[in-house]
Amino acid sequence: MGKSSKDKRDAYYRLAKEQGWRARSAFKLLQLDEEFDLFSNVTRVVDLCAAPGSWSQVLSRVLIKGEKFGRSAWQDRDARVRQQMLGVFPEAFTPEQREAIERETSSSSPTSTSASSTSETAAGAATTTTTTNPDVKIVSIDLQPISPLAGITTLRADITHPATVPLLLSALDPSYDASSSAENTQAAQHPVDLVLSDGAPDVTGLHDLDIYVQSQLLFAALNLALCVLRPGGKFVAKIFRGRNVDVLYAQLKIFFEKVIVAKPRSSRASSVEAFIVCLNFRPPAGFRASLEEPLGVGRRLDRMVRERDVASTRTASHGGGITEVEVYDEMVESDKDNGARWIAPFIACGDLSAFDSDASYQLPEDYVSLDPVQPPIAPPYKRALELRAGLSKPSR
Amino acid sequence: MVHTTNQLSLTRDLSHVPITALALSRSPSGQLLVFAGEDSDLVVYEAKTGLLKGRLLSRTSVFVDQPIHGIHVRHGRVLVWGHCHVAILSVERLTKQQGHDGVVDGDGNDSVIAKATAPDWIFHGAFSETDDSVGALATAHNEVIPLRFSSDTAEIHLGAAIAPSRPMLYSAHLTWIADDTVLVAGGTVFGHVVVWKCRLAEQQQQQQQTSTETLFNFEGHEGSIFGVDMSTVTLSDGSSARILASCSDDRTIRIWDITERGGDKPSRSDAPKAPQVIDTGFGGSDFNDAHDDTQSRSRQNAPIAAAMGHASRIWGVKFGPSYGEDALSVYSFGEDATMQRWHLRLSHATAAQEADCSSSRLLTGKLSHSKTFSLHSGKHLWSRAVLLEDKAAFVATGGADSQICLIDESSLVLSQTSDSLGQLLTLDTVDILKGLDHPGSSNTAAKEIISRYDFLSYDHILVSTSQGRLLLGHLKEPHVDPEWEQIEVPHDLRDDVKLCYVVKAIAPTAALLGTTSGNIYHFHLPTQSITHIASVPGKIIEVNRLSSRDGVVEVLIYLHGRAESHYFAINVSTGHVHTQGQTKGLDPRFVPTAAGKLNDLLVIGSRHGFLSVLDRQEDGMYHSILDIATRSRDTITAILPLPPKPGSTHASRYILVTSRDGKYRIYELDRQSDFMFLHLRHETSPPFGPMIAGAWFTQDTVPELVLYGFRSKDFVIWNETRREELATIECGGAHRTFQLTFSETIPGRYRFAFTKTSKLSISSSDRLAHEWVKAGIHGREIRSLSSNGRYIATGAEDTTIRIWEYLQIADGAQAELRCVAAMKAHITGLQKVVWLGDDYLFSSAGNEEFFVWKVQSLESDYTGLAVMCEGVFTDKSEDADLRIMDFDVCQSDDGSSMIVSMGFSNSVLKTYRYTSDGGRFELLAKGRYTGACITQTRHLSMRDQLPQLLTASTDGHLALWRTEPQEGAMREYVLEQAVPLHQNSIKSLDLIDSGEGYQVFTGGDDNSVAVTWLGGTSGSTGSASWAFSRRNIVRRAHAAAIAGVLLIRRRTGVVGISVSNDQRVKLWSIPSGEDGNVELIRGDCIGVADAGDIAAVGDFDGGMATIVIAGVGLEAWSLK
Repeated sequence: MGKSSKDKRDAYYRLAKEQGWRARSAFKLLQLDEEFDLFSNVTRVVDLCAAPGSWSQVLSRVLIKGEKFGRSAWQDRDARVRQQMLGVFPEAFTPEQREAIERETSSSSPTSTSASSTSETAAGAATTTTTTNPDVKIVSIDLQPISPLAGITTLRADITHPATVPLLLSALDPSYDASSSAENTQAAQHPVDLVLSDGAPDVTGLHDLDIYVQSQLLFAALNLALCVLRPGGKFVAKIFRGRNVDVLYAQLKIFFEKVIVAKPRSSRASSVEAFIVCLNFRPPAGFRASLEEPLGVGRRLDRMVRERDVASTRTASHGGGITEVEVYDEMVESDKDNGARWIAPFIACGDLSAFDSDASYQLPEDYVSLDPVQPPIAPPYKRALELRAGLSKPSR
Repeated sequence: MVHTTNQLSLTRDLSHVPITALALSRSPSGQLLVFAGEDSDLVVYEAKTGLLKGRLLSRTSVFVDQPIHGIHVRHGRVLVWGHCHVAILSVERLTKQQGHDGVVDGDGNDSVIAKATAPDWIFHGAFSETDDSVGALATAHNEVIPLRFSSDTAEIHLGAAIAPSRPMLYSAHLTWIADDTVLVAGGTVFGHVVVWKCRLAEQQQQQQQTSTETLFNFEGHEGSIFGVDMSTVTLSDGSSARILASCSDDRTIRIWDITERGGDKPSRSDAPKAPQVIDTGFGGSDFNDAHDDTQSRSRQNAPIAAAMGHASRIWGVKFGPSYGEDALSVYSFGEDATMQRWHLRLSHATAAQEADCSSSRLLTGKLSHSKTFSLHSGKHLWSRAVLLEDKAAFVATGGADSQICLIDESSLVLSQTSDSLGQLLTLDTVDILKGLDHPGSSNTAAKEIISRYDFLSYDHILVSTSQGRLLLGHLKEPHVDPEWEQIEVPHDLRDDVKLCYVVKAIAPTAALLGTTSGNIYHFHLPTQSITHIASVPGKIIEVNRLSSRDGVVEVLIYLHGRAESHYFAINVSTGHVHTQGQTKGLDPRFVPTAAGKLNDLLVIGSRHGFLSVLDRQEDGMYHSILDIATRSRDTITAILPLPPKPGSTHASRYILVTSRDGKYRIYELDRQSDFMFLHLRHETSPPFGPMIAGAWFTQDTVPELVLYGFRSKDFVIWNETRREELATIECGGAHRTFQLTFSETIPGRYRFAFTKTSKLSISSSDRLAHEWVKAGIHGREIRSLSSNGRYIATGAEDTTIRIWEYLQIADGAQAELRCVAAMKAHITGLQKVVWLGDDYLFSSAGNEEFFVWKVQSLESDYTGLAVMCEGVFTDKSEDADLRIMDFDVCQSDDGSSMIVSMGFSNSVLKTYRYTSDGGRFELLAKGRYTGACITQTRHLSMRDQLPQLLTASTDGHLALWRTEPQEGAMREYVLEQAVPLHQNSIKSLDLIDSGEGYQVFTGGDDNSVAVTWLGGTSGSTGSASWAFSRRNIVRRAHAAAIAGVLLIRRRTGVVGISVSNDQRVKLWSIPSGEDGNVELIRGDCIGVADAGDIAAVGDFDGGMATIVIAGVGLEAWSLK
């Protein structure tokens, strides 16, 4: 397998290199934004677990430099052409899009490879730059160092640690004084509009331990979000869809009007990863966030869920030729041990003409594989590998 | 729990899920009990040391939807925890039905005495040593939660959490050091180890009496700490020391001194410490500095010993028994599925430079590798337990492969020797001759080296030396030195015996010596005599024993540089040659390396992988009547007949052939009146090699196949039938002289002799030192399942395919899954396995790997299934890097061939004709979808001798395809109709022919299940054509992706079954026609994580039906 093998197997890995993103996960945020319009009316953002910084890079390019990324950034033109040819899902296109497709089909051969077409768009149509926004404030936090990004404050800290809150508050607001009255120490004077977290642990393979650690990261992010988010603000975080994830959905619903679990096309179907998109922050009356009394431990959240009662309905509706059936599951109600459950609605985002993260792509023969924008982070066992390599070398 | 509207119930009959917790305990009556966490069930086994399998005593469901992560047994009570839940159970009630065959069924809630919920994830828990109503739990945030249990009310009361600081942990261990004090070790996510003391409040009194004292904070590991253990050791000077072991993501194991000494200044606090910013742990101190005592800071904080081990992460570490002076064993348990035993030697170092320090004696140590145990398959040893007794020591391991192993380490305690070398003798000629009173030995001994040897039996070894000496060793208990005597070689033979090149035992009382001068001598043990019995024209390089009957043994003697070999039938006790012959008609390039007899026929294998069948003809010579090239170009190492079928007096028609290419093969000898064939019936590689040196069949009622050979530096004995490693001996590798003697009746009884650096080493074992308490399955995720009614095939991420026989629950007997074949041919994780009838299995994986397997039963007592790869798909793309996501197979219309349709990850569809004669694939039709990865491919009815296809893909659409003529004989797939259904990837699909059309049941990554009806349309060509008619979707069917769906037809209608990553199985009623919507019947929790597939076994109308669910683990549920 040559160097380009991963380029073929993973379209977003290749696109990220072509479009200068630090990691393929940049597309996940772009596709989430396309679906949920995350960045509209947003100037103040906190990005947690940010390294190597691809989400911050998206924030920097969209909010500070004012670039715009449309579908063309990740659209598989070849697939669009084929969808049109096969008439697979005409409803997926607006009349203008269809017109554009027709223009393209007439000018270029339908067998032209997707790779060459995207490199064109990457250079031109994918981005448009408007004016930069001086009011934007973005703070990025990670345990790992993040290479500097234009206009972004980066902090190296542990989001699960209480000391990180004052650190974040003073980064958001230089006039913040940690020694001022206790009431304000853990609430932002100028709250933020959006909190993001793409953090995930190194998975062990022991499913419920991984889910627990991931939920701890999620709760740490939520804790920070509750300290800094303005009412009406948004929270987006990575989530593992496994056993008891419906308990987690129910708990997030306490704080936000809308909770949706979203899967961008750039996230593989074979991965348990998804993103929880929480819109319209509306904490329960009297709730005060504190890292001293963190969420994620204890039964406080479960009690709050039961107080807020998430209603379930049983209906059947029709649309697009499909009958939607709602079912009542008595198991959800009967389990008292693990907490109340609620299944958040699922939305797949990034439209159907987006590159398919599970598909293999053909590359033109002269395709030159690019180096990654940033090398991967050194793993903890790097030294073990080095030592082992040293041992296996001949001693003479 | 039968649903009111539908009389369908689900019962779990069989469970093979990762073993997530283990504990060992001795019952008052002396039983060795093994407690195992299998998902949410606590399972108790009685170990039968020395026998192969443990006995299941009870299975108790403890938690709902929550695996058990820890078990602690003390005071006749079992403390069990998982996530934030704890429960207390009674040992007596869990083992009460001992003596009966019946198993205590777990639903009886009377075994679970009390349950409680802690505020956080629990990593460890322990009852107080002195007070059976008091315990403590350690959480993932470095807290201690006091636990109080009232036996009167059967309630658990948990106290408020106590912590000196709250770092996030990946491991914790606590131990009671006083009636009111626990010592806690926490391993943090960032590679620190925190050791602190927690003094708990007296009963009923409040928190003012709880206090914490942080003793140590060790830095140095460069990754998360996954395991910690603590132990108190008594040193040779009478002092006692407390030590801690930690293991980490960084592949190291470190030992730390945590003895509290007067000079230390611990930080004491009664309240949680003020928050402080800690090092994030990325980039710590240098591993190489660990022993650097010149740095004063590291002196306090450096480990006393460290070692690097395992191929990947280390999940756990445990202290084992101490032996000898200041030495103990340490065990580590890895992601690589191995357990490693380490030898820790401790010593005091006098700290001269730090004379002012009151603790003038510092503990130092050395950690060295002692033995690797690879008893599990796949990845991950998730659980472990150690039981130390006065004269015994046991270690239990539990894996992701659902297997539980119990290793008897008592020999360490009994022999008091340092490590595995206790079982290994290493000798040179000087050592042997020292014990002999022999004149004239001194002047030559220096240059005299051990030359050849063989075991006459388990009790005797015959050794020849370079000086022509013959030595007989009387072998004793495994760790006792043998007694040696020298065999008197007649004077006139002495020079010739110096040329001895082969020593070969032909019976427990006799051996043959072969010389480079072509002479054959007979050695007789009772008389200790050496007799010349025959000569051959050439240098003897090997003597191959063929058979033995009525005191006469048949041997084949190979000569250097000759294709011809010499056959002898020899009287065992006299050495008299009854018959003599020679092989004829072999190719001059044929180099014989192995031979076996099948009835009257002789089968010889060569160095380059050729097999020759020879028949004895009138002239008394063996003439070659058939020569074949095997699939190996490597040396054939052994040929042996398979046991005959039950009741038969004739030998079987089959031979088993082992090879240096890492595979063993079974051939069927097909003797027609005027011709002979050798058909390959079975071919596979065991999980060691590539050098397989030989094999035997056990003398059990149902013979088992045992193979032996080499893996890297180890010699391995492997039970292929049970898929269990019987022995592993570190010998330096395959390129050496070695001999093995084994028992066909006692597993684990063997002696293995090998030459290493001119010395003779003998490793002995008189019984198995480990047992399998529970048998395992694949050690990685199972991706695909297929059932043909009789057998279940599984394809897993570990790149292997296994075939199983499922034995239903029957009168008192547990349901059982018996592995009948295992195939390792794919090099990437399996995508899909599909049966076609009983004889054919198809499999696909990444890299466009696609194999066709011919499956047959053998007419032999050996019950292994014969599986042979008949077809290999070669029509690959240029880079051969696509995944074959799914495929479907059917017989062609005329039944002469098979039709295979594959869906590729690049959106391409291809249909081939597969012909079993020659294993050929012929491309019939091809098509391409939009670019989306095709996840599901199914045949509908045939038209123009090609199937119409139904596909599903990552875009959530279903598509129908028909073919149209293209240039030549090729046809092209044309998309007939595509409809949106799921939001994204359709991960599972099953369909059922309803007579008028199809019902299609799908599960998506979008948490939904859907039913789509396909109806017939009148096609222009007259034959049926299909169109989508109606779609039903349940958007929130599960809380996570649905990777397995199944449709089954029952008398009352069609039932759909779905399994999801949310670890639920759900039953759905599927309406047949145009009316009605899909409805949920019922659901249940499953222990299989990452469920990838479901299959049905048995007869659903007859009521004896079972569904099998596989993913990380496998479960069988009966549906009634």
